[in-house]
Formats: sequence, structure tokens, C-alpha cells
Amino acid sequence: MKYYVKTIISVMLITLMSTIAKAADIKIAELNWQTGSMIAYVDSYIIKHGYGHDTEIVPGGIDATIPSMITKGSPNIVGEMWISSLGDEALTALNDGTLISVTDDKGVIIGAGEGWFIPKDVAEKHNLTTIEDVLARPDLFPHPEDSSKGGIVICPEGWSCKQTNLNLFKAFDMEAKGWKVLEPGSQTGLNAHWEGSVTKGKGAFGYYWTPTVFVGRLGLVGPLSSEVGFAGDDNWTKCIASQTDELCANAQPSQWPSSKTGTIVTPGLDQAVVDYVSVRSLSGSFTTTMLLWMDDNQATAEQSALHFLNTYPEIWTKWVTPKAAKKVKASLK
Amino acid sequence: MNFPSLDRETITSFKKSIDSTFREFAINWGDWFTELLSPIHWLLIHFEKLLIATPWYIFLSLTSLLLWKATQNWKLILGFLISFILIGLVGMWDDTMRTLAIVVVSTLVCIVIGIPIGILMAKNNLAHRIILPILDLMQTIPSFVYLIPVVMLFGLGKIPGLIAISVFAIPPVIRFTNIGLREVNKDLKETAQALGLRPLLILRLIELSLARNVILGGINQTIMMALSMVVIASMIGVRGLGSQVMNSIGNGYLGLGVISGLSIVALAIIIDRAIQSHNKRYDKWRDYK
Repeated sequence: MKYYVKTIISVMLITLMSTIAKAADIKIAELNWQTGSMIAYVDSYIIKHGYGHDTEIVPGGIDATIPSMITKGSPNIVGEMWISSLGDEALTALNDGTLISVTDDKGVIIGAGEGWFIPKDVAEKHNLTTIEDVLARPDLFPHPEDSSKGGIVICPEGWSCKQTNLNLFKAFDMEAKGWKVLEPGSQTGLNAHWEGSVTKGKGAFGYYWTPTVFVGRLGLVGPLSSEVGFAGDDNWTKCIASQTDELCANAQPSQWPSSKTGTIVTPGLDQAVVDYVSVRSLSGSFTTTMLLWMDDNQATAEQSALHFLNTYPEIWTKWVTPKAAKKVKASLK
Repeated sequence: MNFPSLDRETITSFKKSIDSTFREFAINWGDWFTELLSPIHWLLIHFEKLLIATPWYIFLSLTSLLLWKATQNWKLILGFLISFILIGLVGMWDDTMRTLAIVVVSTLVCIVIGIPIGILMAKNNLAHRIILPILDLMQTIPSFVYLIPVVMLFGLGKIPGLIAISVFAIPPVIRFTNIGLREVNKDLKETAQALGLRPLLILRLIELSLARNVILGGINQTIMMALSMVVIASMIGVRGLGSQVMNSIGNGYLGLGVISGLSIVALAIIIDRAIQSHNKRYDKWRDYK
């Protein structure tokens, strides 16, 4: 999802789209994961029909979207950005006002986060609730290439969280506890690993993130907390999550911090639109419900956005002005 | 005007029924298949361990010896030594060994399965008509389509990687075996029959011997395709040069991409030249221009 970037394709598409498409008022980046793209379509519909702006959806991955927003001022809105994964360039732009982060502390999706998960039935059967519980039972999660060891699936190549996982692996001294890293290779591999293991009723332990359809459909539990809690920002940002080639020397065990999601816009947008995107937020459990619906119906992001607007007016009417709500409702009829 | 497609519910339920049928299949048969392939899995793991554990100088001298036996071409051996020393110097040695291990084992699997199928195709026109479109399908279907089911069946790692590689790489060896056998001179076969040789002996002594170079050409193609699939296989957790390429794509590391990509190219060229040079030596009487 967030680190998985088809950068080149996205850059090409964004350039292509921005040159050939007729200039719309407001361009919205469709992030390439389910909630990210659904939110883009919800935004587009509400801004178009509620606030009367011409909108256009452009494809975007994190790495391609933010530089394009900084240098070209387009797209204008990116709905569900994971603040923790923003690079220096983006943070500088946020500081000097080239970009504006409009979401308050609770985030776009409340309770979103990454970390270590296990299947629910394994958790209940063996009464595993914390990372330490799981680490004591490598026998429940055999590594496919060495069944005497426990396997922990980490992030694929090229995701910055891979290093985070490896540092935590070391911090929890997992090698001594009988664990071995299981590399998924790509998001395809990661998903298929979770899906296959849970479908076959096997134990699986490792990295995923929420809210996602996987966590809902497969019934994954997590992100697991640790008995030591979150061991401080310094330990996390300067050591566990630091992006150096070598492992951090004195990494302390820690649970994963919750991730903040936020909406980022370019300056100079209609204030009414900014007001709307800054209050728009979904609870984690509701997001999972939506994702399960998408999955059940194998719906596209656009169909899901329409389903959401049609079925749950009590949620979105709170985000917009009464006048805009009326207009959106009228257009849905 | 839109094409009159089935309504969305019908299509969705059709797609979902495929999903659930496959899930059912994975639950019931996943472990059985994993068990079935466990000898190959064992071979993969231990061959890789062996290659990585072998000290580099022993690997280089043994392989040089092998190449000399096969080709007697000192230029090739020089090229091999230079490129592998460069690979070692840029820190790609272990990954190259991992890639070599999976490519060698995949190629063996392709040969063991592919040559008998090729023989069957050459001998039986019905089999020929049935298998040919299947080979086309295997070479053109986007590998992502079967990557996910394969991982669901076998889990992450080497076995699904081997299957993904083999599905893509096996067609040349089958095709070339078929063509090679069909091209054997009919008069020779008749003579052999007149001398009283049984069909199996004719196959072994005459047909396979004469088709040898064509079949080796097929194996060569299979190895090349296996190498090109290494990057795709790394998407499901096969470590090696492919995962370095993935890493460089994910992070935009151009240098790493070039180094790991060129390492794959070096492997491919050396294997290709070795087989060609061996072929030339094997039948000097042929007029190679």
C-alpha cells in the first residue's frame, strides 16, 4: 500500500493526464490503495455536486503525488496520506506553506495503523494477546523453509518498513527465541501469504496494516501491543524506523506507534472545500465495514463511493454545510 | 453504445465462485501438494546452502574445470572468471549463488518433465495438437495471474517461485524436443528398424542422439527464460538477484538496479555461450559459419 509505489507509471500518468486532460478546477489524487481511492471518489463527488467545482481524479502513488503537488501545484487534494511516511521534501513543504496539512489530530481514518498481526482463531485458541505472547510460541508459526523455526513475515523489498521490521526483530532478540524472517518479496506475495495461511487454518505472524479488507475478511488481530509499550519517539524515529543500511545498534523493543493519516492540499483552494476535507474522517471499524462491502461486491472505488454516499448519509452530511448536503442528496436521486 | 454485458451481480457471483472454488481447493489440497513437492523443496534449500557455503575460489575453479571439460574454450572461461570476480567485488556473490541455485533446479525440473512431453508430442499427433495451445497459453498468460494462487497453495518462498519459473520456462524445451525429433531423417529410422532395433532403442540411439543439439538449444532457451523470470519470482519471496532488482525499483536505487541487472545478464551470457560452444565442439563436422 503506502510504500508500494509504481512511481514511474504514476509520474508518467500524472504528467500525461495533466497535459491532455482539460484543466479541471480541482484535481484529486487517487491513491493506489482501497480506502485511499474510495476517499478520492467521495471527495470528488461531494466537491463537484455539493460545492459546484469541476473536479478530476488523477492517479497517484505517495512518491509521485507529493513531488508533483510541490512542483506543479497539482493535484490539489490528496485524501489519505500517511503522515509518518512523508519524506523530508514533503515535511519542508508543509513547514514553508507550499503544502497544507488540513486534518486535525484524529486523522482521516481513526485507528489506522501498521504493525504485527496474527489470525484471530490462533489468537483465541492459544490466548495470545501481546507481541511477547506470540514470541514465546514460534512452534505455532512454522517457517516454510525451516519448520523448526517460527516465521515472521516482514515488509517487501523497497518498503521503508522492511528496515523497521528487521530492527524490531533484533530489538526483541527474536533469533534467539527461535524465529526467522520470512520475506514476502512484494505486496502480491504478502497478501497471498496471509490469505493462503488463514484459509488453510495455519498460523501466520507478521506485518500488515489496518484498516484493510484483509484484516476484516481474514479476521486478523492487531497491531499487537507489547508489554513494554511504545518505547519513546527517540528509540523509534532515530533507531527502529531509521533508514540506514545497517541495523540500529542498540534498538529497544517497542510496540508500533499508531499511524496518523491526514489530508494534504495545495494553497489557494476554495475555503468551503478546505473546511469539508479537514473534518472528513471515518472510524476504523466503519472503514472495515466499507472495505468488506467493496470486497463482497468486488466493487470499484467509484461504485463504493456511490454506495457510501447513498447508504450512509448520516456520516457524510456531518462533514458538509447543510446547503451542500442538500445539493449532494438531490444529485444522488 | 455499451456492449450488452451480463448484469453486474451475475459477473460478480461468477468471479466469486471462482474465488471460493479455489479457496476450497487450497484448503483441501494445499498440504498434499506441498508434501508432494517436498523433495524438490529439500533439493532447492540444500543446493542453495551448498553453493553459498562453497568458498568462492573452490566454486570458481570447479566451474572453470567443468566449463573446460564441456567447451575447451579458454576465452569463455576467462570471461566467466572476470564476470564472477566482478560480481563478487560488488557484493552480489551470495545473491548470484541463490539465483543460480533456483535457476539450475528449475531447469532440471523443466528438463525432466519437458523432454518426455516433447517425445510424446513428436510421436503422437493428437498429443501434438492438444499440447501446442497449452504451451502458447503458458508463455502468454501474465504471470501475476497464477502467482497469487500458487502462493496460496504453497505459501511463500522457493516452491511457488520454482513453479512460476517452470511454467514460463518449460515450453522451449518441449517445443525443441518435438521439433528435433520430427526433423530426424526418416531413412535413418527405417534403416534402424530394418536392422531390428526396437522403438525405444531407436529413440535413444538414433533420434535423441541426432536431435541432441536442437534439444540443447531448447534447454538453453529454457535457462534464459528462467533467468528472466527471476525478478518475477522474487515478488513471492525468492531471494537472490531478483530481490535486489525489486529493492532498487522500490527505492529508486539506480546503481543497485544496474549492478543486479548486469549480474543476471552475466549469468545468462555465460550459460548461453557455454552451451553454444559445447554444441560446436560436439559436432565439429557440422558447417558452422
